[in-house]
Amino acid sequence: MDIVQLEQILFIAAVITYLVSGGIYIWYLITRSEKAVGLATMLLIMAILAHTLAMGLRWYSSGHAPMSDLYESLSLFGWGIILFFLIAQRFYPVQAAGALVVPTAFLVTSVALVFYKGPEALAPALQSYWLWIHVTIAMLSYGLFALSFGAGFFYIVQEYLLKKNYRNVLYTFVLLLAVLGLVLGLWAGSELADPAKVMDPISQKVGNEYATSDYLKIVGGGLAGLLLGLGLGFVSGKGASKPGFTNRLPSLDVLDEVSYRGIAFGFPLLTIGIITGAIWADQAWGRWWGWDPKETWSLITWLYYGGYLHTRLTMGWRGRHSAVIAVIGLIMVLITYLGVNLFISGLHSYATAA
Amino acid sequence: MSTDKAAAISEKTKTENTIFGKSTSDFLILLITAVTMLILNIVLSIAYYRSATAPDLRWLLAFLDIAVILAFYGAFGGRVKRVLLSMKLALTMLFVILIFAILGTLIPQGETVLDTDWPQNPLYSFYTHVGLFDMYYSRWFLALLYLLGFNISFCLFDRLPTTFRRALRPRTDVKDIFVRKCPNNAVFDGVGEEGMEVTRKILAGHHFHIHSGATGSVLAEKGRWSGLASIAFHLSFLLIAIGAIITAMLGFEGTLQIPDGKTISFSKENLRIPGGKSVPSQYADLRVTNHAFKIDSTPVKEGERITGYRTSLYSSDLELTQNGESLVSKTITVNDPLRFSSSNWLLTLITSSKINFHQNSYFRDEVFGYITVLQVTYKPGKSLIYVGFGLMMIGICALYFPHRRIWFKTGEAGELLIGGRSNRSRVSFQREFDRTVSEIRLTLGKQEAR
Amino acid sequence: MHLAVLGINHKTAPVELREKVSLNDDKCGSLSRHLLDDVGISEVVPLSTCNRTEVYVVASRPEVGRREVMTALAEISQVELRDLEECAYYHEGETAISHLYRVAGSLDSLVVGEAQIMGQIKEAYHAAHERESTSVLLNRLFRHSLEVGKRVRTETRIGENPVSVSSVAVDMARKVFEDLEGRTALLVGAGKMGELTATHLVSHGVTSFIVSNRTLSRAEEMAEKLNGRAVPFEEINDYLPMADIVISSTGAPHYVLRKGEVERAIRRRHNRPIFFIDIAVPRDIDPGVNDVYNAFLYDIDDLNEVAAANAAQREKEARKAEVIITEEVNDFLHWLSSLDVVPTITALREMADKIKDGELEKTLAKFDADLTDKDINRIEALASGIVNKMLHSPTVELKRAANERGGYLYVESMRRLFKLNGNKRKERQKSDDFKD
Repeated sequence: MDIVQLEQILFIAAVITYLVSGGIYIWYLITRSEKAVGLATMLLIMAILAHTLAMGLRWYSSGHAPMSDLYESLSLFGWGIILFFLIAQRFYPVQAAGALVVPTAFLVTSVALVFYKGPEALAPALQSYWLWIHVTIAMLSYGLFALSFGAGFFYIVQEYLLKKNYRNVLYTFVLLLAVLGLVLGLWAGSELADPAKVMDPISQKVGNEYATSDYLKIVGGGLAGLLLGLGLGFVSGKGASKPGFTNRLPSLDVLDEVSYRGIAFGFPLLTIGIITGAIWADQAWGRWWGWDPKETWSLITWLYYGGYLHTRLTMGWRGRHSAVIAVIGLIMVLITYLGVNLFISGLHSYATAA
Repeated sequence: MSTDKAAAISEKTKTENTIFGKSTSDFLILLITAVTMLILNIVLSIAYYRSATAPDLRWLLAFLDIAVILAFYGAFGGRVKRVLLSMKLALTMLFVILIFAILGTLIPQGETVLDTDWPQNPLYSFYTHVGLFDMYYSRWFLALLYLLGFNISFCLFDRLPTTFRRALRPRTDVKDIFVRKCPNNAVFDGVGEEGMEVTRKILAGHHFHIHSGATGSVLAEKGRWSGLASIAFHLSFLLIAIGAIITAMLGFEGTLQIPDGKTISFSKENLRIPGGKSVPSQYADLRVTNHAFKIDSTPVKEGERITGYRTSLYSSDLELTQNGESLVSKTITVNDPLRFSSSNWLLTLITSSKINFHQNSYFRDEVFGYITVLQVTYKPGKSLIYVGFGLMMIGICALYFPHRRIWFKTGEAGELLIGGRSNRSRVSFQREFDRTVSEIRLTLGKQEAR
Repeated sequence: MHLAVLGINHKTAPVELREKVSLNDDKCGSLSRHLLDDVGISEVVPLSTCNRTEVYVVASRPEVGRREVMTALAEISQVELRDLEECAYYHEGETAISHLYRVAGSLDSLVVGEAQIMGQIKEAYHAAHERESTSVLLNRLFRHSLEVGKRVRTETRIGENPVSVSSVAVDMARKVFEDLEGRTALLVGAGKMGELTATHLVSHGVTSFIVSNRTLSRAEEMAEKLNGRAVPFEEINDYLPMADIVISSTGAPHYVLRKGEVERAIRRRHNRPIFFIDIAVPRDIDPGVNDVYNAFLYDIDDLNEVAAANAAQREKEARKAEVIITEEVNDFLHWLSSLDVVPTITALREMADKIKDGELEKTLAKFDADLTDKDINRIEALASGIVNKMLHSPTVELKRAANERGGYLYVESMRRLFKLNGNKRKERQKSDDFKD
């Protein structure tokens, strides 16, 4: 067995374990069995170890940081989600969030599996030490925004629970998971769609030509994601909209604090991520900023979270209003990270399947 | 405001002629300014849009647009200064820019629009005219950025003196009424000197820096430099913006195609620069030699079978010469450009006068063989931009330590007065203040009076 | 040796009897001395709380314990023996062990899952230990029971969610504010329930109280108790922005706090939340207050509902605890059975033989092939002889002691000296011995 095969096997094992562990977390939400959490956590730790090893092997066999293609980047994203979740679970009673977070990580990593490619040499544009600095910092900030999103989401849930407004708890779950499912589904569909590459005879540029089947894939992906989100949202929402669920969640103060902390640490990281990106771009292409869709969206995300910090720090917003901003923020992050490929293939498109 | 003062002002407004809430002379000055700028704007616009060879003036026109709007607003509407100082404007601008930036990613920008169905649209030429397909460089988008820039700089310069005063000279001497009027305050009756001592000890225990005033009042503070950090953060925007404008005005970006083994000069035919700019004089007679172009490729495998090759690296051996004299040579790759300056290092650092040759791409020509495509840039705003980056990093880190100040003193009736305020995150400061007062309360074994 | 317990508790005896039979420190001492003077009883631990009085003993014969303890208890608390006999329960052996474990796990308590009982057991045991009225069996049993109690607390959520209205109120407040340290509470109406809730708040770190009541003197009285300040009833709306928690319990027939005022107060607090507890009937606080951003309102019905849900949760957890207790009882019984003489002697012999065989093998290996079979036999006989002679007198002595009172002391010493227990729990027990 060579290294590449070993890496694949370890990664598949990790993905399957994420699925099982996520299932157990959902089971926990329904039955509230403490033993289930212990088992699920143990599985997660084993899975993340296998995942780490797989990434290490890939680094070794490809000779560069595993952050260059879509498979590697999604794998890293899934890994980060699990890592931050395990850390958060260590310090805060957030086991319930596992039913949301771990299936998401499973989804991300299984999509990564779909786009699996053997290790390859880096494209010339990526051969720079800025690669891992820029990508790691950006990913860390995404992870922190995801944490802030999770805390913000549970703030909204906990507030409705404390206000005894159980119907809104259900609505919150359904709405949020449906939107997330739709975004992720649309994106996955668009990645699966394999438009024909045509070269424009005049500009010599390669463009995409979408056939009907490609559009069907995109729409189908979106629909599937939407339905999955609705179903998951309904099941978990039903489980959560009970008076007793209050005890499963941290207090409003803690959730508000965690949500804010996530952004307070994520925002400087995103700033550094954008700055390092600009410096790298200047080195590679002789320009800092070119309004490439990815650049533009990272700026949009940055402005958005800058707005959050202004409302919070100088206008004194807190509570549900801040939580809603943090929740919507993740949609921005997801579009920056994944959705940009939906629109136009810009300079960052080497990080796609194509 | 005391009542007689207010009365005096209303008296004044009554006696003088007022137009749109301001004195006639103020109104006239503003109106004249506005009209002058409007005329200037129109003249320049016409000249710019008619001429085919004019340099890119959109940045100036956008600036004038904003100036005209503000001047008219000043004349007929409210006070310009109040608007420019408001946080509401900043947030609104953030939101508006955000929306247009999103729009720009949904609509194809630049040349890519030619590959789409947009050109068939009956309104295509209109859209092109309003800059729909060149949104981020369009006049109105620049204008929006300027407005945000004005807003930030106004707030910045308005706050500058106070912030410096606060950071450099702590305000230790305060009156009773000042402490009582603080957003967070507490009063303990009849605890006298003991109360002062207890408060001082507890605050020092919480790592506050204590400054005693001459008149018996004491200031405890934390995060004294936070105001400056915030200034640094916002100043960094302006530096980056100014750097970008300088680069846009005085710098250039062009492409140079050199066949393998050839030497070429910076003539107009060779160096293609969009926007009608020219090479600065110190570099005008440079010649570039491409000594050797190399490509490395690695096999692409499917299992054990080799299905093709992909380029893993390409490089060009460049040499710069001036009047037959060799200046510098280097092998450049995509992430490793050649940078050259004719001045000494200090001058180079200050004026960022380097000329850069980036390995952009290559193609194969039937006559010349491989041809290297170089991106040649000259960016005089670079140092400013990097200083901006640095300031931004410093500023952002310190942004999370608000300047918290707590004053305490013995009041006229012997009571202990405590008052606190914070320039940011007032909610968490309130909690901190409450905890501190609770501690004082427990130590003194006494409830505060009201 | 028989473990037994005799006692009364809140389920079997009326409060009058429980009050009489309740034992203070002196009474515990004299009861212990009295019982130990008797030939049939070797160890005594009395346990007395407001809901139960129990005496744990080790007796030589089953019926001895029951009779002796019953009369002694009746005598010392001066109640009719008949009255006591009517209400008392008596458990022996396995049921006695399981009874103590259930008490320690607070499954037998009036409020299932309450936390105080562990401390009370610990105290009772320590007092008995000081009096030297305990020995191997009860030492082990009581220490083990504390461990069981701890296990029940950590492995089930039996004590997690409060079941009384006032502690539910505090618990819900802590779901809004993570900690209550240094927070301010406003009491509207100086009633009994309000005061009870306020004392709960004090124990969670609330230091600032504002009390208002229709009659100011009553408010002042309560403010003094809570180390707070009294304010006139008409001015509560001025104090509302200062309060993190509002407890309302007036007898007013109409709403005392309305939505508009709460909205204003929260705005003046920069949107920091206020938690309203309305324990008055009819209600004091406009139910619309719950719709105000960052205001949370719980009336008496809401609190009762939570309390009921929590109680149901505790019942569920109690079932898990029973499983733990069964496990632990079996564990203890296992140890108990090891105190029998015969298995101890067997274990001793096995150990000695193992040592002998090991040493023989080592020695014989050194001789290589120099020895004849006869030599080997001789060396083996020598080793066996030493072992047998060494073990002879301890074995005989053990067998003799087994029929005497306190004979298990010998067995226990033997097991300790020769480390005859392969049981894991043994190690834990040992480290506990050092701790105490």
